[in-house]
Amino acid sequence: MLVPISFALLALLALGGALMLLFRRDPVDGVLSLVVTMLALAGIYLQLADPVVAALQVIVYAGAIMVLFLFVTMFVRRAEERGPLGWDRPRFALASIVAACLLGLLVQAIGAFGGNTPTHPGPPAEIAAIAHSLFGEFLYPFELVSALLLVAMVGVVVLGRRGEESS
Amino acid sequence: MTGEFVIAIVKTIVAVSTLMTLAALLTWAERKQSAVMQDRIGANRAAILGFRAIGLFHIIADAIKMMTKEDFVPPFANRFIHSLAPFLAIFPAIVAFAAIPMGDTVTLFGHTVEMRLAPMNIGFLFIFAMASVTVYAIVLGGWSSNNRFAMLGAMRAAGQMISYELALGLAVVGSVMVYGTLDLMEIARAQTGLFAGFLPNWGIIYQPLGFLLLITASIAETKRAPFDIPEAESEIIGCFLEYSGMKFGMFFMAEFVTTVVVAGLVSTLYFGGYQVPYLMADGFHLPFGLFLVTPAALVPWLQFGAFWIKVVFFCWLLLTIRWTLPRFRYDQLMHLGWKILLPLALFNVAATGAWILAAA
Amino acid sequence: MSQHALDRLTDELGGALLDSCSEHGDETACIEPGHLHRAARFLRDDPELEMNMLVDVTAVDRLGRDSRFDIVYHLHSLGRGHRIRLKVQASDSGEAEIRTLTDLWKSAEWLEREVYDMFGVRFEGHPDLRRLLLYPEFEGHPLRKDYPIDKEQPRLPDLAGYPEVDYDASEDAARLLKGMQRTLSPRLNGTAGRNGKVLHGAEAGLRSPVASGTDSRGRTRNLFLDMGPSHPAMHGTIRISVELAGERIVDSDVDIGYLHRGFEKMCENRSYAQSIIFTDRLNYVSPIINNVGWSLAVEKLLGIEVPERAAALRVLMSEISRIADHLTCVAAHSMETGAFTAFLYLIEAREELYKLLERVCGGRVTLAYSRVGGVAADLPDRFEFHLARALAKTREMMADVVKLLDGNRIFQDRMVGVGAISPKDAISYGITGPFLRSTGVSYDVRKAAPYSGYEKYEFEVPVGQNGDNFDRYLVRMEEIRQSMRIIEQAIAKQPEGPIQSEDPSVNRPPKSEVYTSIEGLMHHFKRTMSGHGTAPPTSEAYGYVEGGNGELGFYLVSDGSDTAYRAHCRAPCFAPMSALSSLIEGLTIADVIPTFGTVNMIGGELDR
Repeated sequence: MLVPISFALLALLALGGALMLLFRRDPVDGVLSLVVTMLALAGIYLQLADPVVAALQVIVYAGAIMVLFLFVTMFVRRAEERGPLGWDRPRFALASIVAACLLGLLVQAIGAFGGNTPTHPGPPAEIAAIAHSLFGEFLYPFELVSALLLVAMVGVVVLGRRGEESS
Repeated sequence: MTGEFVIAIVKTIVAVSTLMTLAALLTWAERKQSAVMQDRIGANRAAILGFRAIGLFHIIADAIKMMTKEDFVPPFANRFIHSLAPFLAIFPAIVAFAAIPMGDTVTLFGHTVEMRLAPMNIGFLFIFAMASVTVYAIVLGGWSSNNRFAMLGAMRAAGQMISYELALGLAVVGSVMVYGTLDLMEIARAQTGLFAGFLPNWGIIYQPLGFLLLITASIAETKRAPFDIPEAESEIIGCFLEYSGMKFGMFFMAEFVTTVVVAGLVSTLYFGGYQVPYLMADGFHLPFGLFLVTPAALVPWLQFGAFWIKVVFFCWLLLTIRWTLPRFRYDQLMHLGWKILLPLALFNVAATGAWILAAA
Repeated sequence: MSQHALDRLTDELGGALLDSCSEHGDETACIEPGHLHRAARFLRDDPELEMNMLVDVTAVDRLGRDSRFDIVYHLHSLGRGHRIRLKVQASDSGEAEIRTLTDLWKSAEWLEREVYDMFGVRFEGHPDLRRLLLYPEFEGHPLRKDYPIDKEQPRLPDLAGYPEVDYDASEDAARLLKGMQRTLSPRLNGTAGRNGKVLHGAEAGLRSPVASGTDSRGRTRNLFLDMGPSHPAMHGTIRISVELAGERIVDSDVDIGYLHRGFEKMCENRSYAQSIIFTDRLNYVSPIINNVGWSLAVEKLLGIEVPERAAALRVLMSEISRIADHLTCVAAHSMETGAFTAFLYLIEAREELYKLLERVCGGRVTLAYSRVGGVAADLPDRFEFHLARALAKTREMMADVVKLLDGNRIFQDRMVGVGAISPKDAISYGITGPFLRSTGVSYDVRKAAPYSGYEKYEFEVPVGQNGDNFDRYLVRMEEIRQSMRIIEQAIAKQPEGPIQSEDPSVNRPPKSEVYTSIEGLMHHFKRTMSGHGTAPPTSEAYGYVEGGNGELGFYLVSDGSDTAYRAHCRAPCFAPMSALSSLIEGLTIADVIPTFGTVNMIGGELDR
């Protein structure tokens, strides 16, 4: 009885956060809405009896990535300082196309479950199992992704430094 | 079902009230202990009917003061976020304590009760998840105050906490490897018995470096001296500069609650948690064959007491450090975090791994 | 000794040297205004003179004369010990008549600004001629003789008459910001930023002062931060405006004068004896040194010496004050770096010394101990016992602090190499005292020009090597130990005798006579009544002592009455404060704190 109600609440929170992100003008508000979404998702994972993923969701997304987002947006000028948001037609069209594609992908992915979407607790994920898949089965993709992130990071530092020198 | 529900509620009330009482006592201890260290008298002015109770009434006086002070929100500040930040500070701090075992299981009125708020197998991850959320409190508090000093404090806090979370996380990986679990209860249970026949079999023996790293990084996470850079009142006056009344009080309490949580984590990981040295289920097995019988019903309560004694000891240690050392500079702090603590933590992980492999 | 300097200057300048004289041991050269810069450069660069320090610049308003101002420069050669006073005349035309010396000595920048502020004399070629101690809205120049002493110019309008209005923070903030920007140098207030770019407009900082990380085109911009005047580490009376790139200081401006009380104007309207209480408020941590400095300067004008016992007591009490001064400085800067316990230990030691001073003077802060011609009181009974106890306490506390700080890695990281200054720069800024000695220059007035019998005591002058914060800390700690040595010698061989000079120009009858005989009462009355007190002959003198922060000088001009015609104080912490802006550039905000701390800014003497 409790489970569907709490699921509904968490889902509403997640959706609400996502919508707020779209419709709030102030970037800081947007970041905070996204944090709400991330935390609600963590709650849903917890409900699926997967505390490890829930904890990782909080640590990585809410605790690290979104903090960096917030860190950056804090320095950007506030919404009221900037001019009104213009409706840039080409950009709007492009965004619509991308959004439509994403929606299609999502629908397909959900459809692949064939209606067997798990809403009830399954067996809890073992930390050892996660470790085995990360450092065993998916070792190369995992390491490649970290290398990619490292390259991106170094690139950003280099670009940032270059701007500093020229000014 | 209802029985467990009642037990859970009772446990929560007992644990949270103990935690908050200890945190409140720490506000007094901070003043009194620093006074003793600094040849001062310390807080002793609050009195009820002439009784001063070595300044303990100051806790009540402080609480009344905080609650009755003007609640000031600076002009142009973001009202909602400004009010939200203190809650974000204190909530995760209290909740994080749920993962820490205060004792083994006891049987009460026919129910088996685990002396821990939330039975969970991801103990560490839960605590780190909560610690990572507290960053928001200080960053948002500083940003929403619309004050440049507070903003600088928020910037410093964000950088500091993200940097030290890494070292903090890696420091405990060693312990996780040694005990093969994330569950703090399991880790506390594993520290029973003796090492080499006379030493308590505590985690510090296996992870001395991990202990030093954890305690350093966690002081940085609690943002207390010598890591009180976000607050650095003589430089930037601090990220809570625009807070007053109970909102400031909540930040203030969060600091002390976090101190208790850190003390609990350190004692659980490296100092046997609730384990009493030489105490087994049937009594004290002292070295040289001495044996002292203890009633079985008493053992869990002795352990419960031992846990809190250890927590108080580490709280004391953290306060002593706070009143002894000067403050780091921001770049020195980053240097320490990234170039010293992080490599040392990685080394600790590698060395622990090598040791486990060699032992196996 | 300095006659030599005067001779060489005469040879060099020829007819441009209008007049020269030597009185009370001070050499004075009056120079044609157009030749001042040449004379100054000659004195600085001449290998036989090497007048490498511009100690002081001030002015005297000779109201009624055609060129009404005398601009007075005091030069000093640290290596050779020569001193000379240069004088040029300037008129009230509002034109810049005198060429600035800022290109020769860095100390001239602030000193000339002060002269401009107080007298309205403009200097040709000064890079940044703004008011220094007073605020931009101030009308007139207060040290001119025709400025009425009772004229009030409060900076904030009287708000009592205003009707109640709704508080509008934005208007308030806009007004405040405007007011604050006016006092800033044009460099910092946004009109002409570095590299020609406009740095920040008044309105940009208002609505969201914190979210100014980027400009309208998304480029990063620097943050402007006002530290002070209300800031925990600014000791209540100073404002450092900084431009920050991240936490690094790109540019800064030091704004002083928040504690300006018109010390010099007050001294010019009170008798010499009455002015002693004003000197208490200069360096309020070591007031006795100020008392002694003032008394010595007046005695120099009078040409009298004090009895041996009075001199010994002055030394004893001055050194106790010096220890209190250094203790306070070290305590404050260690607290500001976060070492709160060290602060309280040192303050505890200072407390013992304050109790000691209280036993002798009856006060703790405003002591007014020295008198023209002697000291106010002899040592009380059992003073030696209390002194020994206080010194033991000081040693004990210092030993604890040494353990807490000296080898402390965090403290060293904060102090070593931070805020370093080269000996050359330090001298050019006119810095003296522990600050100069930390750079390795061994200049101490007590050794270089001993007064009150300092030559009779054995003590070392500690010097540093790097001129950084840590060296300043070490020098001060060592000076405390040396001062304790002097105190112990002074108490061991205290000479017997009177504590007040019998010279008819200064002597006061003992109270027993005042209360019992009519002659005594008349004598006392005459001595203290306005217009009948100590009146030095018409002349001028510069008396200087080693204050807690360095050379504390009093330049007095007497017109033969019992009130100084011109009294000027050369405050020791003025020079390092003028160097502060250059010291903190390129450092981080956190470094401002120990650097500012080791300057030991004392608002009372800095702002006067």
